[in-house]
Amino acid sequence: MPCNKMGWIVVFAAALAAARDACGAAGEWEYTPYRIHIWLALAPAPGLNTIVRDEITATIRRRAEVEFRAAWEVSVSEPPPVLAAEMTADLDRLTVAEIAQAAEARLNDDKLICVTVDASPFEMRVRARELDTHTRLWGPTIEHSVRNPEQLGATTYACLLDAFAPIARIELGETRTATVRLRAGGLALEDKSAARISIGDVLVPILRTNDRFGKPLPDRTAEIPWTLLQVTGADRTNRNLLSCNVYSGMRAPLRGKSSGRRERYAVKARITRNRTEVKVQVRPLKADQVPVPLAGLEVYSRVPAPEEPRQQTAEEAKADEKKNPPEFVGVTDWRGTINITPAAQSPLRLVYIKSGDQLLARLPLAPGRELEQVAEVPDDGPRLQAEGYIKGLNSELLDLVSQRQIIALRFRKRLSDKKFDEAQKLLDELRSLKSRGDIQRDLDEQMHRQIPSPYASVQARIDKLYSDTRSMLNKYLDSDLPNQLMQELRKARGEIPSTTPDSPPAKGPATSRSQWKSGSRQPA
Amino acid sequence: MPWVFACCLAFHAALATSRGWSEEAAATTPPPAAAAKSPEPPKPLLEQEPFDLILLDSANGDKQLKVVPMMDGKRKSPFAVDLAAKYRVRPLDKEGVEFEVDGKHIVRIELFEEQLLKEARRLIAANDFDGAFKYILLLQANYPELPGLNDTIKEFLYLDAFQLTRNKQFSEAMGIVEDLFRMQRDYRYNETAQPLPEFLGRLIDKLMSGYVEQGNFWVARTLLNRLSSEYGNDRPPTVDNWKEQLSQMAIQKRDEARKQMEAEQFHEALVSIRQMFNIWPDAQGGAELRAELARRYPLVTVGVLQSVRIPDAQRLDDWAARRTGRLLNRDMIEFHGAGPEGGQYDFQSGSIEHSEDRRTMILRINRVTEDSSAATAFDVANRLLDYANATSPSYSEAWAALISAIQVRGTQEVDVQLRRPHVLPEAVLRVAQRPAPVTGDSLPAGNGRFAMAVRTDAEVRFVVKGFRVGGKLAEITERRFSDGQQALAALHRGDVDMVERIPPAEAVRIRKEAKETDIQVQPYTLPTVHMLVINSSKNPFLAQRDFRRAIEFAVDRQTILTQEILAGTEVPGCQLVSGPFPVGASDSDPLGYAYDARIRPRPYDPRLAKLLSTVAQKQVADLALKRGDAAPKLAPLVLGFPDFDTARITCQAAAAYLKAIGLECALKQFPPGETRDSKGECDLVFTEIAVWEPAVDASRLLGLGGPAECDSPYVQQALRRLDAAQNWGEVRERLLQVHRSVHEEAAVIPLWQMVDFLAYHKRLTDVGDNLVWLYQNVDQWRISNEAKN
Repeated sequence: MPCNKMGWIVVFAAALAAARDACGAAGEWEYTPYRIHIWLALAPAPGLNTIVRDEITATIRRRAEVEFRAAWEVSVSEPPPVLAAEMTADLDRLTVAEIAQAAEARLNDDKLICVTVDASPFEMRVRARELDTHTRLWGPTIEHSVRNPEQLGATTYACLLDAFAPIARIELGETRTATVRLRAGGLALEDKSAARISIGDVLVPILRTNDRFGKPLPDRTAEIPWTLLQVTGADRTNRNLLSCNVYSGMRAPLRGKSSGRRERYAVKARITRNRTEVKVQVRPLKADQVPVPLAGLEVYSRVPAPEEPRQQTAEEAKADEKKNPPEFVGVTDWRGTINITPAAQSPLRLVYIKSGDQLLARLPLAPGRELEQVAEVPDDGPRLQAEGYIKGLNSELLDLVSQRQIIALRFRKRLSDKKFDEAQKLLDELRSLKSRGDIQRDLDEQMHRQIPSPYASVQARIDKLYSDTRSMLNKYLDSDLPNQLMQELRKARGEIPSTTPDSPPAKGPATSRSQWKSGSRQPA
Repeated sequence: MPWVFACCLAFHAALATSRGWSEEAAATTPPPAAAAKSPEPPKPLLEQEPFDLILLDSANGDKQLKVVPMMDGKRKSPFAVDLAAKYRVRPLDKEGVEFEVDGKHIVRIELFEEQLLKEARRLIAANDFDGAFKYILLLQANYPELPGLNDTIKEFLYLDAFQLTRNKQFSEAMGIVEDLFRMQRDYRYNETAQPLPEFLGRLIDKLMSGYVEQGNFWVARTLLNRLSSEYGNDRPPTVDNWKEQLSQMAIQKRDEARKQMEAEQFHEALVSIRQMFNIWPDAQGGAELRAELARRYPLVTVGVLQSVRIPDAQRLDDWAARRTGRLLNRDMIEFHGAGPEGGQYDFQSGSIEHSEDRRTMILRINRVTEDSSAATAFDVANRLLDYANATSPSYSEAWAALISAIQVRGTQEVDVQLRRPHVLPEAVLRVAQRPAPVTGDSLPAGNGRFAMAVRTDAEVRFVVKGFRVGGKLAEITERRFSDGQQALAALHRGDVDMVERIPPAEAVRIRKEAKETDIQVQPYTLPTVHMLVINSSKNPFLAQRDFRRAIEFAVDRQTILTQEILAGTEVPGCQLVSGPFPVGASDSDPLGYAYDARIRPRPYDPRLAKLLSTVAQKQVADLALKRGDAAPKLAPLVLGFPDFDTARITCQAAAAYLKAIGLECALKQFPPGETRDSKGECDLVFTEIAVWEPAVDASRLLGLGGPAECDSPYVQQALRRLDAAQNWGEVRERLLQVHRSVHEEAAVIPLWQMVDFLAYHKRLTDVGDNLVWLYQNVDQWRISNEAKN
């Protein structure tokens, strides 16, 4: 700690500078426009010439000015020649590395939108794909077609608009909530602006890992798997600070703060398809394990309530479920896949994957954002097999206990009516039923046949199923019942004396007068 | 002729039984309270203690003494009183007392049997024939030589027959008159009465007129033949008149048939010929005409119990669809019987081989198909790919999950690579040879040898495409009957040549009589399984497995099978089952590889059923309470069934058993041709399943979209494991697991395995042995050209 006043002034000034830098960074993020650069590549087709290019470029500028005003700073150029052919041939093959090599400066913009225009005798086809330079991630390829050449400019603009996705920076992440700051929010003043993110929109969180120079490490930037944010509101003092609910199949994916080495962003989800195919497969235990699809899993889904997700008790969860019950979607097919379609109420759905009574996964999904998404869950097959067997055994036990009780009641009625032969038949019938020992033997045999699970958690559930069943057997199946009834029958028949615990002790051996007279002292 | 009397009286016994002994019922009915105080009417003589009646002279006040029958064993009617004798008698009403009666004071002694006869005559005169019958029966048994008894019997028979005739009970009267005729052919009741032969003739006329009017010619002919053979030249003349009349009617039909044949209306001609034979089989030229028709247009008529809506040889749950599917469509691969390791399959275009590791199936194309098209390897490969295409109407998920690649090698070989070894990939590949062409007609078309030409509610006609005279078969007509007995009667009459299914009890009987009839009976080689399929999605109670088990315990399936379906006849192979798979015809039947014999069918236990039902209802109420909903009410269960007699009988009986434990049922019969609950209105559906390849059919039956679709995750898991089985050991073990899972879930209510029989006239030849389905050997069928019945 500095001892003198000058030292304190230096420390204070450094802290102020740091705070100013932070505010400056936030201010720059919010109050500077998106730097959007568009590469426009025209295929070498008749009718696609420089005049057309100029017209398209002018349209883009004009419309962007109207739509985004200050929020976008648009520049349009031809792509580098080395990339132009690849773009027009197959836009999906273009990579970040190629761009970095051919035009690294473009990676300093916010967005690079690659647009191609192709023409056939019947129509013109426009394709656009956005590269977000903060995350280095590509968006989906958007395709529009038009027949009227005069509409080409407008169509091109509409295509690149669909390809554009606003981005926010994750400022604070908790287990179930997050706060994000909208890029260029201070300049996109209109609520309807395509640069804004609205309440209810779904955001895809992305984690970027940097080197010590702040540059993103290759292949270290990716979406946080099975995690989505949904905007619930804006800060009262700053409408560019958005509150979000976090839905994830992982625990606490956003906890903590961003840093220089670890940046977190959230990009608005673009719904471009009418369904997403969810593929469920076994979570591999080894890296080289061949994916095994899981067929027959039940899939449910529901639209989450807009309230903040929170820890709930079982009763609260049931009450919630009653208010907003999950809808049965279907069962995964032989490939482990199932199609989930967007819901009308919200772009976000919660997908529940169940195996028998066991919930295997609860995953957020924005149906239509991706063509396919893969969910990995433990192979629940052995547990399901055990559960099926145990349930069957429970049913058998119920039948057995019921039959025994019915026979016992009928038996005692026969005894009271002194119909001992019929009672004996009922006793024989009781003995012919399975005993506790028989069922325990069946249980032991089944345990030998049981397929073990390589997942410790699953195996623990299997073991619990069997041990609970053993306990239940001992509790409900009285092995002594036949003997009890037999004793009752013998007493009723008088074959054994009936004595009560409080009966007076038996008198001494009775002797008859004749025995006395004969001198015998032996009891009669 | 005591045996004649015995026959008459036996006939009367039967008749009296059929009339109902109302007098006995009245006698046992307690008298109304108002009449309780009036004195009891005297007992009929028959019911009194036997006594002889001694009539004394006027010196003794004309008294009548009732005495214990005198001189047992030395009784002779009429009793000749010895005036000089003293008869020691015992009064009937005074026990231990004996006294003497001087013969000179005895006017007459009426023996008890004489009194009985007198009473019988009185009753006859009063037209109380039922009453009289009892006396006659007693007299005939105990006093057969009683004078006057024979005459009384004849009188009795005559008057009884007369009264029956007046009541238009001609058939009963006929029997009695014939009895009398045998006793005395020239009997005449009195001078004015009709001679007996005329009476008999009149009755024959009445009966024959009725039979002819009803079209019951078989019975009519049987009657005439019997009368001819029994009475020979003494037969009433009307017998010959009727024979002539029938012969003329038959000749008329013969001529009609001839005209129709000339006009090439062969179907109509056959109908006329059948009618001709039905009327009078010996009509001149009839047999020749039929032989000619059989040569020019061989037509087979099959009696069926279930009509077809959509022919499909692959339907597991539709007997009629399977039956007719084979006629209209030939599949690429066809099942033709059980083998030592699963079924045996035939590839229509060639042959199938497997690699050693069973991961490759090789199809060699080297045969011309039935529609004379020579499929190439490309045709076959395209079809196989289409089968795996999720967007194709022919999509099979099982096939798509199995294959990984298809390669065409040249024009005659297709290699199919499988994702994993499979014991019977050809079983998965049972699909139509090529898609059925879509036409504007309402009749389904196919690539088979036959085309459906006509479809009505009563019959469906399948004609051979491009038939030419000289061919073995021109047409198959299926005629629908409402039950097996009617169909069998039609077979006996000759109205049909074959019946696709006859009641098993009848089959056993006919097989025993095989040598005496022209009917051939044989079992289908593979059994079916009957079950109640549960629609648990509709009913929250049926979603509870305790409730489903309650249903199974509540219905006495053994009694329904043995008493109602099999009519008490033991039919090998017909037995209860505990799961959805067949047991097989015998212990060594390889078809039974899926059945776990350790799992016993749930026994009939109505008490347990009631208890489980109560438990399940409480569970449903508790679940609703937890959700905050009102407890659902248990509505009557709707039990649906297709339109044939076994299904109807079973469901009616099951409904009665369920009602006994408090579960009301409503029955719903499907329209003809329907076997599924297309509207989803039923809780339980009677279903008849043909699971002939359990290794593959288990999933088709119980999987999603199957006729017994089960949404239990445990059953579905067992099915998935079965689909992944790579050898027969795994297949067997996993099928047993499927059986167990279905049993534990009570996913279906299994009823029984049924062995079905077909019957056909011996003039239909080359029907084939070990038939899986009716038309399996139809290409070889031949209707006999022999010029005889």
